[in-house]
Amino acid sequence: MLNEQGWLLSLALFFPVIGAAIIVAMPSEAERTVKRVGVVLTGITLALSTVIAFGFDYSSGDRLQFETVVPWIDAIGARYHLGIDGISMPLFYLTGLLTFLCAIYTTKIIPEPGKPKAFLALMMLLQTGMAGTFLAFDLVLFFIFWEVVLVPMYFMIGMWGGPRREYASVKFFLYTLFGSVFMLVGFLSVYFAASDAGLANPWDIIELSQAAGIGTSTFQTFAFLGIFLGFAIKVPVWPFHTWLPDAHTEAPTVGSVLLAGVLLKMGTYGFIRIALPILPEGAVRFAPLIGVLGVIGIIYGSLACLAQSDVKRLIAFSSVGHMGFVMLGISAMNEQGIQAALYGNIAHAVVTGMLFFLAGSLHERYHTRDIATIGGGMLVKMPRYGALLVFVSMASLGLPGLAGFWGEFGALWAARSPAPAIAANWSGLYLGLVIAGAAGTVLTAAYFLWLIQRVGLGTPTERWAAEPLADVMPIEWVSWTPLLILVFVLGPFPFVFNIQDPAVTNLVSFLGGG
Amino acid sequence: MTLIGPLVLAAFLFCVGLYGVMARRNAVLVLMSVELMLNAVNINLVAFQNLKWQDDPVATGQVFALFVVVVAAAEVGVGLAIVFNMFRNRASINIDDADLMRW
Amino acid sequence: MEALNYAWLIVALPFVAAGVIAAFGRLMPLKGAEVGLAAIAIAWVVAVMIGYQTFVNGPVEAVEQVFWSAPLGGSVLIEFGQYVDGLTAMMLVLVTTVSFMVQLYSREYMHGEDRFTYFFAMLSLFTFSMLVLVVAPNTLQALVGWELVGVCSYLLIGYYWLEKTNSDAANKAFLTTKFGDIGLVVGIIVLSVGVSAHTDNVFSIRETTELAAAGMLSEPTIVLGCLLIFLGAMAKSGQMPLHVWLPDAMAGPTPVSALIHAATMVTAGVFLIARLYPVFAQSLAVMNTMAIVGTITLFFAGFVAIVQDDIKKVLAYSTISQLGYMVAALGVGGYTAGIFHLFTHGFFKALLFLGSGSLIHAIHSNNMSDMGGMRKFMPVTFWTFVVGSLALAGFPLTAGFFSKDEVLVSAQIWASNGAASGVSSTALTGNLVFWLGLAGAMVTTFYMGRSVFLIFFGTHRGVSAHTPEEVEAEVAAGTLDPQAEMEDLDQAAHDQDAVDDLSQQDVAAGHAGHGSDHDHGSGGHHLPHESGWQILTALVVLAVLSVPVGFLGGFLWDEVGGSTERNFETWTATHLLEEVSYPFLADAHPVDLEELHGGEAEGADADHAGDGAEEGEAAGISTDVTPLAAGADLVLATEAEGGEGEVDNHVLHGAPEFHLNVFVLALGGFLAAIALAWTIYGRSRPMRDPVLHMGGVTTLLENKYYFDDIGYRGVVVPVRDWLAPAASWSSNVILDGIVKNTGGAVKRLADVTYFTIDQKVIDGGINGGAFSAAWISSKLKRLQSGDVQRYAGAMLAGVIVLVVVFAAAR
Repeated sequence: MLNEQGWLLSLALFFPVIGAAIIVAMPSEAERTVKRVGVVLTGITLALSTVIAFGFDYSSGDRLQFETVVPWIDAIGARYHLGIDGISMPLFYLTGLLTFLCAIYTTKIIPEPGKPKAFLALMMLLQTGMAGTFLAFDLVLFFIFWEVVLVPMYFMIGMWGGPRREYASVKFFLYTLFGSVFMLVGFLSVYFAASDAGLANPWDIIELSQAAGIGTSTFQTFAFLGIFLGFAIKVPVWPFHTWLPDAHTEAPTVGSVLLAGVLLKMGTYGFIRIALPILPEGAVRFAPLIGVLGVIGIIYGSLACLAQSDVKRLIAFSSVGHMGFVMLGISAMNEQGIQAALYGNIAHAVVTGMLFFLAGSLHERYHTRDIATIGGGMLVKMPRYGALLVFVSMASLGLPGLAGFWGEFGALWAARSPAPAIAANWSGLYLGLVIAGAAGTVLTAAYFLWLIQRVGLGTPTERWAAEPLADVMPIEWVSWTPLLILVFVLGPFPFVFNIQDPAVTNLVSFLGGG
Repeated sequence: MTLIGPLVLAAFLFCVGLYGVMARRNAVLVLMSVELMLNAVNINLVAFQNLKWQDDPVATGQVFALFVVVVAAAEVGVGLAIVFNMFRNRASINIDDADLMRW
Repeated sequence: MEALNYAWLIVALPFVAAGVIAAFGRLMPLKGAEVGLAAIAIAWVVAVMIGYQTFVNGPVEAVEQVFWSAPLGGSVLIEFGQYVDGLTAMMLVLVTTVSFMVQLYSREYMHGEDRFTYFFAMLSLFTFSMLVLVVAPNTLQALVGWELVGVCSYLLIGYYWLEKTNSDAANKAFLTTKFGDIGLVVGIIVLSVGVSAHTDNVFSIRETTELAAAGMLSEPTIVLGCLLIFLGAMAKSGQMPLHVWLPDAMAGPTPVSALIHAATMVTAGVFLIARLYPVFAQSLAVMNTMAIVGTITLFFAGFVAIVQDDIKKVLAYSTISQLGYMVAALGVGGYTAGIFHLFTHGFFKALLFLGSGSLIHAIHSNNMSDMGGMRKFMPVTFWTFVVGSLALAGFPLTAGFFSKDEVLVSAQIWASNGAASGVSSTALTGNLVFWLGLAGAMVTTFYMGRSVFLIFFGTHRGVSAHTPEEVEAEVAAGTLDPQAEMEDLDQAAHDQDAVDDLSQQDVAAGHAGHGSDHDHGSGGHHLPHESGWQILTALVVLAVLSVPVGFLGGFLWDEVGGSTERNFETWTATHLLEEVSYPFLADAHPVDLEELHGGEAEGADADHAGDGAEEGEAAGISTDVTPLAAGADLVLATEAEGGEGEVDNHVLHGAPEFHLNVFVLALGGFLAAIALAWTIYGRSRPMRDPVLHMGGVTTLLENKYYFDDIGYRGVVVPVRDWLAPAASWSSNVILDGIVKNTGGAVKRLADVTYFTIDQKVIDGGINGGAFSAAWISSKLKRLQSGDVQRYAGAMLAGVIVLVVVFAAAR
């Protein structure tokens, strides 16, 4: 069977590292060749991912497939444990796809100061880190991939970013690292507790999940707190979100796309894969808090968006709101909630990734991202581009029939009927969360409509009236079309639900019925 | 003949030489004083050979004194050469002026 | 029944058309219009076939099919499919008919517009969205269609987005309805979670209604769920105070207004309530809320229409008022009456909007003060408009007459049922709806009379009659309000130029026939003339339909010789509706059925009713449910129409019969109102329009009861100007401040560590060692004097010391 070939997964995971080495070995004068080779290499990675996606047995998505287990660091019992299941599959594939599209985009549009060689090499290293996070089933391995991601992204923001890039990159790096420390402490405490409990492989995520809760309730609460901090900063959960607008605003377009598209998902994935099943009792205690923070994020993020004057910063803040829905889904701790959270992840990656592409191209043309300076009339100057902005904005505001809706609706539905252990004490609170979350969708609609009106509609201002502004370029069509198709298809055909379903059912069974 | 005579003479000569070395500022005089001290040593060497160790078949004291004379001659040669050079460079043979090796 | 299986075709065709038009429309000879028209024509044929089949077969078993599904999590499924019964069929017929006519009309009306192709694509998409809602087998699909309708209306209302006011109107429409969607989404969630206790198919409308009817859903679930869904319906169907978007939505092109007001948008709310009616009917609180909100809307919205000058605004407020009738009817047990009014209203309101569009097209102004005497110039438009107005005003034998009377009769029955059952609040709401409904009908008649007289009678006042010189002359003669007229003139001339610019190309291309409407502004002032054949076809078709659709109601069929076997009620009723009753009326006093059927009921009724009662008992429903009135002249609708119907059935989907007292009162009101309108406006436009000189009342009406101001100042401004900046500020200053200050504190700690501890203490110690060595050596180096004699002295001293030492050692 193809899906027992563990080496294939390792190859797909580490091929970008090989690719980065190839890129680095090339002469730096041959920029065009470097860019093309970058597209080919990320294309090969995507092809490998596609092979895995085809070999994957979707009917048993609850089982780890393409699994590899090799002893690694004997001294502490860490193992190289790689695999993929229905929860990882969409995220893994998305990582490959987004990186490929970013590589295509980079062939024509690369931010100052150029240097495609370094840029592409970093991007591929980043890809390995991101994909590895979704594939690792050993806590040590997971943590290493988690941290690997920081470095390339730090350099991407720090070198190719906007005017305040040093500040933003350092803030991103340190804030995330700050959370990671608590997470590591949490992991260690889980390890020791699991050792005491006599687990054969106390780092192994699967075994820890199947242990159905280790240690006392108090232990779980504190361990969860540590892990919560690590993941919550990455997500980011309100009020740990302040690194996000800065990082997004300063990051280059491609960096923003990957940041919104994949990096944020690592946090929610961590919650679902690690925090909830390994520490179910702690999770139940924290769930109302997570839900409340999520809903605050929804309302707060939307309100903050209404006040933004910078397009990219606005989109960044919109992420806070969208991830709020994901957290609300997680806080319900039932199948619908987890499904919705994962679906929201994918939809947000596709939609917001696309929005960041658009914001980047906006900057390429207007050389400003200030809404007032642009001043409207984009639909006159660039009708196709404006139409895309409207389309993707509609998806982002959760229009049913497009990608963004199911995550939001599912999260709200799940929050109305949370896991029994939560519902027992917090049913009223959760009803309030549902209503407040639904109210957040109106605010979301408000800022997107206002954005469209101020940027897209009306007549162009004098400053831009005579300016020749190129409509969507071929390279942009190429790199955007897959995302646009996904934005549309994920609405009426929410097939990702089907992929995740067995794995989510399996995972929720670890929560012990709450 | 007793040893006391030559020894007192030698001591006297040495002291004169020592005084010259310590007190004179003229480099040539300093060199000459050094010769005095060397010769005081020679007197002692010869005196002890002849009056104390007459049985020495190889007359070590005499021979040693001869060596000293030769070395002293060489030393004066070198010393005078330095003095000449010093005079040539500084138009002075006052050793107080020769303080290049100072800290 | 096989045609019912193809309902999806009706939905799919406009969608495919929208895609094809958007992709290839520009390349086509008619710029994509042919695709849209062809699609909607085929869809219309299918819809009519389905409508016919469901009509002749009476209440049909619904055809429910699921085409594809996905797990929302666990056993909860997202499903897309179709659910076709009489109600669906009725809506399919309405939507496709109106959409067909609107598209035909738009071919001419929008001719030469920029983005003509885009407009047609959007029309098709709009129709598709509404159809998704109409055929929805579950609330989730209904929600999808519902929101798509909202977004399409946004795109079409904002069609002229170069002007900010238009995009403002679009935003307002979208956000107001979106506000209602909070209720809809949460309501659907509440209901479906309630259903999930009993079945996996949580969103299914069939299962939800059946469970509710069987009393399986808890009271809080039903009340909360229904009230929340009603909030959504209020926003979508323009119920006060969430109606504020609807008049502003007139910013869109007139065909869009017709579509929104007749078929595809505002009807969505009423339709959804009707769809879930067995659930709504479970709670008295929900019913009363609907009745009261509907009554307030129908009564107060009409008054605003009186003071409007913009013909489209008149019609907009009229729509709000009529929607109030529908909601009020549903709130007083008039299921059939409500959707019947929805059905008839769709035809004549589309007609009126398209007629007003024809006028606007001819004179390039929305204002009735620019019209007048149009009867002579546009006879077809005139007659069709009059038919529409009569239907709206409820002139006997027109569509609106039948449906509005049914609403009033339903209210009357509801009131008497309430009185008979001892439920005082239903008696109250029934009477409220009845009397205010009557008054509202008079208001409707008055403002429609005013509009018709101002537009079509008197002398022509528009720009086409005046050159600026003439205006000045008239001003001098004191016959005109100078400022208003000059402004109108300027505005019209400005519009004219714009339109001419757009149409020049087409005129040059030889489309003078169609484009000729645009010619008469900038050149000489020609008289307005009738629109082209496409506009007129749409008008005539709708005008012709505006009369007979009323007869579907059927309760007069006996009198006019029709069949009572099949009528609107049997068409749209469902078996479920026939089997359930209002629980809160269940302890009604027993009433002798035979006596109640009185004079007008057939003798056979009693037997049938008896059967019905037994059936009701078998179904677990109290046979005590006798929702009948004690009033001598009130007759309950009975078996005469439904055949197998039961007494209590008719309460639920209430198809009242002809009530003479209602007829007399309504006709009297109509005549009084039309007489008043004729007196004031009939001959010519009055110098002082009395409705504009009613002091505070006029001010109140002209400011639309200040709802817009309240909404703007009370919601938009606080959120946009206070809350949003506050959130942004708190994020940037407080939350980020915490992060930054934490960072700053760490930085300061680092400074202390480095500059004080590290640099001064630790490194200072190391450096101190080095410095002291240097200091000592600087002192010691002085021994190296370069003075040979001093060295010699030192040696001497050393020798002496050694001598002394050795001597001492000895």
